[in-house]
Amino acid sequence: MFFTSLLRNKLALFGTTWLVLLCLILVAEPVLPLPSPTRINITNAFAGPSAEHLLGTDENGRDVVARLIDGGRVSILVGIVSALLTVVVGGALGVVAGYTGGTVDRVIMRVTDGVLSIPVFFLLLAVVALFGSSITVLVLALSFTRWMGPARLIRGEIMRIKELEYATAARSLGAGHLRIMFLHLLPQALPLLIVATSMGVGNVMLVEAGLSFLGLGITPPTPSWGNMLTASQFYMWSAPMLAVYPGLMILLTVLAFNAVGDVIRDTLDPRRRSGA
Amino acid sequence: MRRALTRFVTIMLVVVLASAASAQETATKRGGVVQIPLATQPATFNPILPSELAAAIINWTMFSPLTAVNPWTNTLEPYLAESFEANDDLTVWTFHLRAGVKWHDGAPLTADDVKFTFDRARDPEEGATNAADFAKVVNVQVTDPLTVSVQLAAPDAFFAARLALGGNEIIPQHVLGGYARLADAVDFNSKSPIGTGPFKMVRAVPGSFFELTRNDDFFLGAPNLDGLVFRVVPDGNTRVTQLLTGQLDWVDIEPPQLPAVSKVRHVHVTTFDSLGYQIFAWNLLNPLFKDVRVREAMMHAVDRRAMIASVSPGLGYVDDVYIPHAIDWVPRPDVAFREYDPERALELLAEAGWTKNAAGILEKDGQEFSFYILVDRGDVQREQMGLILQQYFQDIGMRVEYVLAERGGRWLEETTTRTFDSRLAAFPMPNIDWAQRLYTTTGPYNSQSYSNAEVDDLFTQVLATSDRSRQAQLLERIGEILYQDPPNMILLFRERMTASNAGVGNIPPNNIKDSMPYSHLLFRR
Amino acid sequence: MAEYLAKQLVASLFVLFLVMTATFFLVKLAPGTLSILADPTMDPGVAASVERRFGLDRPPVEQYVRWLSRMAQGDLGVSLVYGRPVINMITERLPATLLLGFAALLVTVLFGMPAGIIAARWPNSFLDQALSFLAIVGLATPNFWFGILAIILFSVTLGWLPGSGMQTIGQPFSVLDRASYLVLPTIVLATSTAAEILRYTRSSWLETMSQDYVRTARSKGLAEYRVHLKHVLKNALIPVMTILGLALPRLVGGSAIVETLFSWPGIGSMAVNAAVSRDATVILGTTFFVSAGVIVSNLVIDVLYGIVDPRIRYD
Repeated sequence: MFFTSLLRNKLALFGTTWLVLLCLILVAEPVLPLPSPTRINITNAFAGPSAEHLLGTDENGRDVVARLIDGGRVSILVGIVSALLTVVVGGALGVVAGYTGGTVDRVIMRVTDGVLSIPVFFLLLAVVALFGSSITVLVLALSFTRWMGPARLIRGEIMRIKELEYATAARSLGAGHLRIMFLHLLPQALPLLIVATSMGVGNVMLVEAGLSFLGLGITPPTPSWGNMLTASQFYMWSAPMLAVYPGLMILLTVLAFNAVGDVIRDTLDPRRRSGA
Repeated sequence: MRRALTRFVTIMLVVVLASAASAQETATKRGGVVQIPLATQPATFNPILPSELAAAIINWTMFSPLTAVNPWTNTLEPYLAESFEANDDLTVWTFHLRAGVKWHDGAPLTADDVKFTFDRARDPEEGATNAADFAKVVNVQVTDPLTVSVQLAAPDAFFAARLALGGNEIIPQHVLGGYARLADAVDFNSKSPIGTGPFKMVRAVPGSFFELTRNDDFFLGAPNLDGLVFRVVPDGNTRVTQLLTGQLDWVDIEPPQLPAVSKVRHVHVTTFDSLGYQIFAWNLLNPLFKDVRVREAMMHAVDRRAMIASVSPGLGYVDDVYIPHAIDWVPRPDVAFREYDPERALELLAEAGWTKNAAGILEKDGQEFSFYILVDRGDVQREQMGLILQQYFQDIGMRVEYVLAERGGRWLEETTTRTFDSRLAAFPMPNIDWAQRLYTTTGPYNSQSYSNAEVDDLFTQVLATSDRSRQAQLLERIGEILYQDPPNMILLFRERMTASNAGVGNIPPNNIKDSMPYSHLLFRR
Repeated sequence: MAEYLAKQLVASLFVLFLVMTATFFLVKLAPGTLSILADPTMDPGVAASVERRFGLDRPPVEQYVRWLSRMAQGDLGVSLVYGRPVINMITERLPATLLLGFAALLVTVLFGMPAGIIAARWPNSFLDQALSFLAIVGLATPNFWFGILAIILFSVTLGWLPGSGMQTIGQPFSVLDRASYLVLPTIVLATSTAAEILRYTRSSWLETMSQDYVRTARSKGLAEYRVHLKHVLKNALIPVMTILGLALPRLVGGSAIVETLFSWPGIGSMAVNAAVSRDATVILGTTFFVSAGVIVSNLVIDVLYGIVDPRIRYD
């Protein structure tokens, strides 16, 4: 096979396993026999791994595993919801703009450029200052500042493929615009959309972590991998492992989403599956 | 890792013991440069205008106040003023300036500069940081070129001490007199300040660094160093790594950063009493907290000793008195610390009418005991203590929310309008004057809305006497009343740490900021 | 094409105006006050006088009109915290950001694109696997975490490179000195964009390879390298260019974190500081600058589109 590779297979296997496992654990959290993620026990701070606390405890004596799971629920929820919102909004606008061209294209793309040119961090801070950095606010703010990427990407792709012979052929056969856009062109752009979503989830998790570093991420005590990673920086000299766990969780999960995105693309794209 | 923690605590104890020996060195050497970090770009090089920590640090090396606090002994010393005295009823303060003091541009300093500075500082249109300090000033009078007297509307035993606390450094009339507003002097404020301090600005690269060179004419003697470099380093961990690599010479550190520097040969760690405390403050306008028994119960509900062992291992202490032990001429009132005793807490709450309902929540007249703790974002120690308090209060059956808010946003809003339920804050107490700012009804720091007529009256008496022993007597009595009618719960009398390159001498046992008026003594070995 | 560009420019300016207006009201509507006034002990009279001085006590709409008329005269206003013209603050920090940004862009293009082409040219090879793995890890790492690790390794432990600032103070300027300070922040800033470019170049290249006309060309017996050069290169680079266009503002956004971490005195760290201290005029001024820059760069990319693929029509 042309497009599959050993690495990709391994990554895909890892990614799928990781995400399935993660989802199972995150969903099953309420019934898992774990210590409370919020229960503070200051006499047991920075404890090492034990039967009770598999990865030890943090600076407040909270169970690290339970907190990683709790934070994971928040991080992945924020990631998936805003990546989906991002791609749905961006993809639709991109298809319409790329296919229609002319004034519609110009209006959509100028608005896209306009929003794109707001420095994301100011916008996020302003929004956070206005409404507080709750999960809802962050999801909306992240989506609002990130739909433009997919929109431009899809538009570029649509502009390219609509000039290709089969689109011209469909038009000459009298197909309607909507039909051409969503039945002929969109499937062609689907691989890019899927890659955009899969990477979107990862990107959102990274942006949330970056915002946390600047003090603008999800406000504690609501845990997220991002704010756990940032909080642990303060203890990196006395308890370095606390910074390793959330960092690894982010890295592995983002990596898994990217790998799975690749696989879905390969699967959905019949031309690719058939190989060249 | 638990063993690591024990080791960590042991290191801290060793450090504490070692630091007791630090004293000012007299065998110094000339030459060399010391690099010091600033967390942000300083807002302005005019010490009178509103600014933040970064500006306070750098301005103290370029400008001179009339008086200063010696960072080794924490005692008030004459600085630009050679001496000062007050009249009998403490309403007129007279300052005698040192002769022959020159501005960095060579012009002589005179009493007119002092009058200019004070008049600008008390003009509300200037927006000076310390305008409140000058609220009682009626008139500033120049009696001769080196003498200036300040007339106050009411007695104030601490007027000279206030001038030592930053933001009251003298600014040059011959440079700034022509500007309608100090803020209009953009070049002075951002690039080319002119002061009388031990160092003068050579090069300002905004956002990056500020290069200062020695002022050979400095009135307390030429500085030992050739210069100072202040570098803008926003990230706390980066500051520590720069100290390790030698790119910075002096960094204030927090307890969790100690392991990074404690085993490094070229880094020396000094601990000191910061003369301030972290508090949990009730909003005393809130009916929930009006009953003394409720406040007392909440103090018994928290294991404060365990908490400080966790958030500040080996550094600092907790006590139910409101004046730091380091201000040792004030006797500790004979009161017992309110130990952790959740049963006693529940008893007191029951006396006050609060009993647990079916859900295990304290209830009175159908109302649940429910409130939130407001914490300003940015101080990790405070953020952590807020969470711990929430846990303790929940444990005795209260519904408690933890709200972390941006300082400039909700935190400020609710603090100024006094609409918060309860909050955490740090109170500084660099000298006894600050006690009245915190605990008198009209005190500027009294956001908790504490009001006790007897305390107000006693503080008025403290301000009106210059007799130390009389002051001490009054303050002991104030301490007793504050204990009986607690204005807040003290969580931690802070001891802090500063880490410096061992190659730099005369680093006082103090934070960077408060050491700066004596930066001329720093030297490289 | 000139007419097309003129129209785009007019449209862009209009959007810039909308963006600035939205940002203005967003900043104004946010509760709270300047950081330097965020001191509950400050005399209310003092805070009021500072607000009067900057006209902050006026209704937002009136402030907006005043601000707009100043902007129309090319005046970005005065920083509320620093009391200095915003334009001066931006211009003195712009070179640092441009330097870092261009260095990162250079790494992105010079590493990301060739690596992507190499990976696609020999799919499945060890090189492809190694590069793709590197890219996927690079894309998944939080950059401040990577940055901190890099500082600890290269600056503290090995002592090879400085980890903070942009020059050795007290030494005369030298290119080598500046370059040594540039290495770590550039790598950290460019990691995600380079990885992204690598991935998109690879996937776009492979996709183009499977297009009918490429297959036709190959079946006609054209030499492999000519197929790549003639047909694949330009078609594959269109989506890649879109990503590159997006990388510019991403680099500026990323610079906020990287500059803060490495104490790099650029616009990014200034913007973070302005946002945290609610310095409205600086927030608006930097927003304006970055926005204008992005709009211009997108116009350039539109032009490049036309050059790479003449079949795209300008309506």
